[in-house]
Amino acid sequence: MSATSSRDILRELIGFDTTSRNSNLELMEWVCTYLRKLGVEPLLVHNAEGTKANLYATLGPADRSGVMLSGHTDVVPVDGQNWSNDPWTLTERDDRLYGRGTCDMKGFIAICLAYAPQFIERATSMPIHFAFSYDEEVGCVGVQTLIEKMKSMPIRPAMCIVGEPTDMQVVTGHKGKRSYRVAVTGTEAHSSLAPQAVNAVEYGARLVTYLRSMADRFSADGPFDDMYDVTHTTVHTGIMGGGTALNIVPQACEIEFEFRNIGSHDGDEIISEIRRYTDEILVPAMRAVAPETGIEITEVTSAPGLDTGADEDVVAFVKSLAERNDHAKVAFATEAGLFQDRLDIPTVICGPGSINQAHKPDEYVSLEQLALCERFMDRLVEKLS
Amino acid sequence: MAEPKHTSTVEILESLIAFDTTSRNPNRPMIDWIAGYLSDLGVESTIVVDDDPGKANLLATIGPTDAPGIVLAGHTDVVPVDGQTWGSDPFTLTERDGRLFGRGTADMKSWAALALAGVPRFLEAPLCRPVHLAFSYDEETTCLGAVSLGDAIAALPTRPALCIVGEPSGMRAVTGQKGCYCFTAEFQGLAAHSSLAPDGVNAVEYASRFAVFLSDLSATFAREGPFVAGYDVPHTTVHVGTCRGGTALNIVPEHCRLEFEFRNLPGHDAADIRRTILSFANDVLEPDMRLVSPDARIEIDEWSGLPGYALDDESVEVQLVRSLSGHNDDVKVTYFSEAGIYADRAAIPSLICGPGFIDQAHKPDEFISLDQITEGERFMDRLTSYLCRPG
Repeated sequence: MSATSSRDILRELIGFDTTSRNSNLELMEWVCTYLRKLGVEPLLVHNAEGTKANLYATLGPADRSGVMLSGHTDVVPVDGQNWSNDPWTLTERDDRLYGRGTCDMKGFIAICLAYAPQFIERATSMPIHFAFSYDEEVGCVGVQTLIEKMKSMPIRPAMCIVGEPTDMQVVTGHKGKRSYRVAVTGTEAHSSLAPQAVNAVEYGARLVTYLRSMADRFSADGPFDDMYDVTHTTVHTGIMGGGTALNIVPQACEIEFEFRNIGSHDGDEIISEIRRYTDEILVPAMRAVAPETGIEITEVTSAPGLDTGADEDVVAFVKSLAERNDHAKVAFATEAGLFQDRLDIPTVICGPGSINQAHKPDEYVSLEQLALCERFMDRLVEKLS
Repeated sequence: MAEPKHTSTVEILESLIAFDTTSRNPNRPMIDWIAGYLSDLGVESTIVVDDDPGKANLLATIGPTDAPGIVLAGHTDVVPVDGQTWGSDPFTLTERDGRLFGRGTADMKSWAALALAGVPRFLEAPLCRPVHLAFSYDEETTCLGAVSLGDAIAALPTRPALCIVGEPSGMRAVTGQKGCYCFTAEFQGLAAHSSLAPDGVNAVEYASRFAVFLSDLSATFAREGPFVAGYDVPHTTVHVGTCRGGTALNIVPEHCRLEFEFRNLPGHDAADIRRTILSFANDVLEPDMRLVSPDARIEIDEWSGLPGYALDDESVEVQLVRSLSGHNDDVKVTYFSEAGIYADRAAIPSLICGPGFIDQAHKPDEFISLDQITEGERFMDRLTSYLCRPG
């Protein structure tokens, strides 16, 4: 079979509207057909509804661990964005390729696939694994079923490269991220009798204020990691709503908050402190007035951070592929933390394009970035034999 | 003239409860129904409409117009049932265990039903002094109705001697009522992606600090006073009623809107309390917000400010209402009513006395007991006799 160019494959991939709310099965079928023509039988791991799938494939010797190249197939919506060209048609202009997903992150997947024939031919000592997921953009949801599947596999990858856009810089860390929904339950009363009721909004406000005081403490006292733009853990309330009319003491208040913790800051400890505050300070004060009141905190998403040591083999290996010695940490969350945390696979992030172009109208990847990534793959091919 | 047709209080109440006069809705259908009822009895009504044609007050006089009479005043609107779990349909009067359930039974359609059921008796009696029925709109929100209705009362041919506002007081004459001041605070912050939270100004977080300040201020009044005995809550209260902000969890909220109120004892200076609150927002929170963004701000709008009242225990008005109600206890209330507005706009002594209890108001399964209806009917009987006595 003759080699297909990265750009031809990228054109195909961009043509599938894999916004997270849609199915990604058509794209996956296309990839499966492509791989089967090369003699590779991929594994699809579907969601419960059968409408979306992860793909896992091994290229080269299947009896040993190799290098996993990972990316997500879903993209963020273009709703309300003003694009200069059709976001689902790959368009070249001024040495850039435009289209939704070009940098985040179908460009990387296209190059992986374009190199599949070489991986198959040259991988004699060590295989390449592909792991392509769905629903990354809505909280790293899809990859979790693939990870469960991989736990029972006899052979796991020795290392993983997640090709999120880093301008081909080697990224060893990103923060963990957990989000929570809070339901504060008070008691209703006419506002003239306010002290006899439990005001859910006021207790909710006390929690939000406590969360803010934690954020201020982390900002002042750390722990710190100077490799991040924001060098400490952040805690933030994104949504708050409670009360129906001014003259009724609010019976319910809902709050959504998140924290993004640096690697040296234990997420379990952070949420424990928050729960201690509500359980030991707020709820007893509420129940002193009315026993049926309370505060319920529910975890909505939890994605571990990535914190790969600069001295780990995977870092040196990927630096040699990228031909550079520096490394960095990034503000955005990826699936890399999950591979490291759940499967103990040493993982770094390195991919073409810049996060500054991701999620925006006129998203693009430059031809220069694609060329850098291809050089990266050339060197990877050399290491396989 | 034919004998006026008598309709029972409960029957009338059933009709009034069936109108969903939640303040956001028009009250006009209920006002029109009342005007129709009065018209069938030969009583003419004055309908007072302001800007919104869906909303109206009603004023009607029974008896001689050249003597100082008594105003029976009440509001027609009710608070929302949104999100409340009711044992029966809130807009269908339902009797259970000697209680009548329905939105507005306590606050305060039963008073209107009692007054309307009394009309045939007022008509039959040789009144020396008139009774005026005054029903307003939007008491639970803006109190706008009472303003124009108060002006209409002031324009009556003879100034009434007394206005009785039938808010739920267990048929006790209320000698004192707190003031009530309502505010909306808009917090304008700066949006940012949540991974860069310190670069933004989180409007929800500042609104929360403000809410905590208000809650603590209320706790201070509860602890340190001033206190006046006789009120359900013997001190000034501060309370946050609604708070909403933020659009998505991964964006620092740019905007948050918070509504709060305080209800002060008549002797506790509202200007002082207002100053304390505004100064925390303007001198503490806003400068902190502006450290990050010079455009960040807090805008506080006082959309309602109504003073309370305090009447002398020994005044003729208090003595009269006590004799009509049959209760002599000294009662003061912490909720708001239109009495202060009528006292102000119409310059007549105004006080609260009405059936039911405020504890049941605004709650799911709001009710009035049949005992309270009976007490109210006795009140109307005594009032009829009183109005027949020459000056």
